[in-house]
Amino acid sequence: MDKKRGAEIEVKNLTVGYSGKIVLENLNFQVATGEIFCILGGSGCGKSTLLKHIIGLYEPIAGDILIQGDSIVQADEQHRREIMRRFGVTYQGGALFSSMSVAENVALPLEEYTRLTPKEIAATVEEKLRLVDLAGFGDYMPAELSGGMAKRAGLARALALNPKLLFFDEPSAGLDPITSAELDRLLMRLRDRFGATIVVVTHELDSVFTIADRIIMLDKQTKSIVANGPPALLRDTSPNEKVRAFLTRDGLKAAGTGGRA
Amino acid sequence: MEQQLQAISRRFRPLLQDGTRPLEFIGRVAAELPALFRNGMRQRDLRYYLDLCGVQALPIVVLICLLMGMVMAVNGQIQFSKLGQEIFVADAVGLIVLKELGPLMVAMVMTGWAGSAFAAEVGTMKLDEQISALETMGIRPESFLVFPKLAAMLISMPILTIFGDAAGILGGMIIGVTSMKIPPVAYWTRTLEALDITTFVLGAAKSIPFALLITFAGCYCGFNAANNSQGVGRGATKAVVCSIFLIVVADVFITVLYSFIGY
Repeated sequence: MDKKRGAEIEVKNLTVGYSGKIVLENLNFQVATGEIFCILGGSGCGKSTLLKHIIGLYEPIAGDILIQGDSIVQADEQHRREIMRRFGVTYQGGALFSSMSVAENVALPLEEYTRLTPKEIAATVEEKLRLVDLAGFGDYMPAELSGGMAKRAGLARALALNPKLLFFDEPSAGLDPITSAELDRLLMRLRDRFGATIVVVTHELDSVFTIADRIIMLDKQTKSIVANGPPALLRDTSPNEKVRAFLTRDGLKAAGTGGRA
Repeated sequence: MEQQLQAISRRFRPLLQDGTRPLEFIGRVAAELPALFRNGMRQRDLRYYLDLCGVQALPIVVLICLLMGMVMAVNGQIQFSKLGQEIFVADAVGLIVLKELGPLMVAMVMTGWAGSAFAAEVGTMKLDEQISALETMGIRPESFLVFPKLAAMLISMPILTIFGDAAGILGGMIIGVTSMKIPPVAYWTRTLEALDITTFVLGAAKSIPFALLITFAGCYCGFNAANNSQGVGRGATKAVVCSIFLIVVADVFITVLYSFIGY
């Protein structure tokens, strides 16, 4: 039972892809307990694909993924579902069930997996909605929410079972800078208050520098991790020019000069 | 030789998978049956689908069956009038509606009404990552989404078929009374003489396999729809075409089975 302490997620020699086509090859990294970890990279480099493998939605071509010491790759279906219940996932558009109200969405995991009474469930739902600044919106239908609110409602649902591990797929995509900054503060609050480990897939640099303790950067060409470390340190000292260019938003300029030269 | 075999395997494997995947899907749903009996079903979902597949579908089912009954009676009148035996239109309409047309027309209407809706709903949920969200909550999407639909269809289809049968007979009677000038009592008595309870029950029983086929085809096509809006549209179309085909094939089998016991 003595699980490896310190590493919430361990990715070992992971190769992922679709229908025989390799997207990322031989990845190795760890996510430590209590850190905010960002997966970074340009469009189409496989960030979301990697996330979907880590959360057990897709099967990798090779390699292993350990969540709190348990392999989500090798687990049988029953065990995999048990591992999945330990973490919460917030999807790009919120992925709220459109036929249910916001409160019913948040209540679903509680109804499925706890023996709480309807009254206790309602209280928990209200608490989670307050946590994401959506108190009073329980009766709204998902279609009536703005993009930012839908994402926060999705987060409230992901938090329902009090997971210690949270995944976010592009939390800032499609949000205005102020809403996006609010969401960043919310993530940091979750980490500080509950000691949650948070994995974020993003390409929003502002957000990365505000929240991330550590990042990995993926590269489409080499199909691998080209940088691993704290974002500010990588921006200033990474030996890889591509990484520095990406983190200083210099990518376009660099490519432009390169093209003319 | 090995390469040729591999090439053949590559070509035929997708075909084989087309055949095995639906079975795998049914298996995954069936594997959750014990959990369903243990934990029950979400009542709210069941009520929603009962309303969609039962209450809301009733008017169109009754209207179509009524019109089909009238069409049959008009055609029957043309044929039987040659023999001067118009009263037998009551026999013909009653038997055809109860044995074949009632269950079949209800199934066709429900394919368009519910089967396509199931496929579009599940397909959109997949596109919107709602299916992924269910999975990462540790909930099996197949059973979570299929059982309420299946239960609603299994309950509402036999009831709709009874209403459809009644509407079909009424349609025949309207033509009998207005166009053929048969007294309503005479038409009704003739209908009752021609029909028996077994014919009615065996006809209505067909709606149970039809309900299974429509629900599974709809949900399966939704789950396997491509992840874009065109994919969802194609999934809905596929669900309708597959359902109609499967219903007709099932009807052939059931009719042959019934013929063994003399019906």
